[in-house]
Amino acid sequence: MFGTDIGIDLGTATVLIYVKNKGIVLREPSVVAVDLDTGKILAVGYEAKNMVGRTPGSITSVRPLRDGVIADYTMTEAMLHHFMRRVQRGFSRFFRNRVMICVPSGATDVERRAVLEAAVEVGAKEAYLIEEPMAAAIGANLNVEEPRGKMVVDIGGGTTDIAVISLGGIVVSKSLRIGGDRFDEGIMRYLRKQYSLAIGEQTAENLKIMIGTCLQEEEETLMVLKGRDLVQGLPRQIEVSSASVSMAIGEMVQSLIDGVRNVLELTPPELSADIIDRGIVLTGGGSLLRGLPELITRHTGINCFTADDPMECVALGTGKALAEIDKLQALGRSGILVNKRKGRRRKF
Amino acid sequence: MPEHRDNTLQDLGKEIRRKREELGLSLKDVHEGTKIRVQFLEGIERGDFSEFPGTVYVRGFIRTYLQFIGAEEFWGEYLPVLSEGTEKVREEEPSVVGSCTPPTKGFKPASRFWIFAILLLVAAGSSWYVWYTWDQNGVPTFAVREENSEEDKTSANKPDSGAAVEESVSGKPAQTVAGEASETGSDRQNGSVPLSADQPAAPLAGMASPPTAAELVGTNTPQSPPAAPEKKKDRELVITADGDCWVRVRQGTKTLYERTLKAGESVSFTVKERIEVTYGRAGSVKTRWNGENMGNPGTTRGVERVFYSPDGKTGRIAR
Repeated sequence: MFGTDIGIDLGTATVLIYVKNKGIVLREPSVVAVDLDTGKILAVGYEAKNMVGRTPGSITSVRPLRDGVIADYTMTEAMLHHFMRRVQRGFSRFFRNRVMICVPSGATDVERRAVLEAAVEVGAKEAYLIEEPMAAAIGANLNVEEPRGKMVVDIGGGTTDIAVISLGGIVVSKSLRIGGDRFDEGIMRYLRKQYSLAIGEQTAENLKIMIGTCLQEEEETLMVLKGRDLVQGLPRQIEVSSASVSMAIGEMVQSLIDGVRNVLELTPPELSADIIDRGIVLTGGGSLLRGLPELITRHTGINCFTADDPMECVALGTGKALAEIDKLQALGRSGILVNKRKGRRRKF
Repeated sequence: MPEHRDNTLQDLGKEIRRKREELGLSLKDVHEGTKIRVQFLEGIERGDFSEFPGTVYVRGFIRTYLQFIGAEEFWGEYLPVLSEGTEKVREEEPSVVGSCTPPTKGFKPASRFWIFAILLLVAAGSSWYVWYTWDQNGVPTFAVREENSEEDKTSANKPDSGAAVEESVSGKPAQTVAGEASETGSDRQNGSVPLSADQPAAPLAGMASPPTAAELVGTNTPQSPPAAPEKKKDRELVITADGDCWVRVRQGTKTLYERTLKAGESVSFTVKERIEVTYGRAGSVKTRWNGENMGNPGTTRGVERVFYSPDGKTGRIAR
């Protein structure tokens, strides 16, 4: 009777919260700043992200999620608690809500369990899980129920989920531990090796967003980058081209394309035919990388395009799926949803 | 509105086609470059999206096509038209997981609402009852009633118990004492059994020993006695004044009550320990002891001293 439906995209890089009838109400980086001496949480979200790499010895900025799953349970719970309090204002905070959280399709049972526990701990009346590619497909407005093959590639901060969906279920899926974070790491490693320049995670991410591309033949753009010279130990400023970025992330992008090819190889032929007609839909923040759809099209021979609002697809999908949860239960979509209620676990 | 939309889409399609022809590209070339089926490319150029598998594909294919022919400026014109169309398509499209069952509204267990509603009503009702039954003095009346019933029950079950003062006053012993008292009263009226001043209790009942602890409860109501004491007539002393009369109640050497009662006034005492009552004008009052009318407390119209004991005994104290 009371309470509402909340969909959470508990991403490695960003947490998005969708509230029924309101839409996406929160989009914050999944970062927590903690005082090591007292164990007190100092900041969460954007505020904490600004502290990353700039904190004194006693304060550390933690990213509680790694590779799409919970790496630090306590911090994840604290972060979720903070976000839920921000989302639930006024009278509504006295009621418990139904919550649906997405997990990578390759998450283990322990990792799924941790997410469920965290959701219940922060005050969910009922907690459900949905696999990321399914949520992404629903969020991208794909008609997942029709008996036609659809391919979704969700490139998140920590993981890339590739799946072929038909008749409301995942036919083939693959979860790669490649995502925006790995791209950043690649850029940092490349700059260290090629330019002897050490940069932070935030700078690497900025570089990727500003001039990052997958296609080396694209028109070159330059960006001024500041960091610490590894030889002299002094701050230095260099100009980095988009071609350098494409070289830095080339290896990861290639692994991603290989993953897509693998899934296509495992796809039943009838569905392959549908996918050739319809193409591959990219979602997630990683899909905004310039040239990625073209590169996938080039390597697979299938049209590939980015969905509208790719970063919000998963969160929107969790919300929509939660609205239809009763129907999904009635249809017996096993493997999609896991319900945890009063400490018991139920699969349907 | 749809006609306007179709016209716009057709116009945009024509523009795209013109642009493609300017570049010298055939639809097959575009298909080679974008891997979009020629059928869909023709659909875009015609402005007819009926064959497309879904809105998301319409948008994706158009954007890819525009990027390929380098006409991305048209995307801005497509966007509002497509958004308009999306709403239309959404209405027709089945919901997220098919149209086999209607979408659920709110929470499935609707019975919970009634549980909450009933609980709310019960809570409201009980709080109203507590408020309604709360006594003026801040004492809930139902608590008093409960106490009374418990006392009655106790006295009925344990008539011989002499431990508690209240118990000894009512029930079987009370009746016995009342009998004795009435006998005493009749004797007194006859004047045949005068009480001794030195041995006040001895002539009447042979009381073993006077109680050590003493308690007296007195209420004074100007016109009528309160409802609760009336129920306990059998162990109470009620003094009703016909005319003005000074009354003093003492327990040992301690004065518990001292007042001049006006004509018509009535005062009642719950006697838990032996008390001595001094009537200034004994002829002007009527007493009721253990539910029995005792008439005037003394033979004279002047000062009289009478003792009342919790075991039901009473007697005049000679001066």
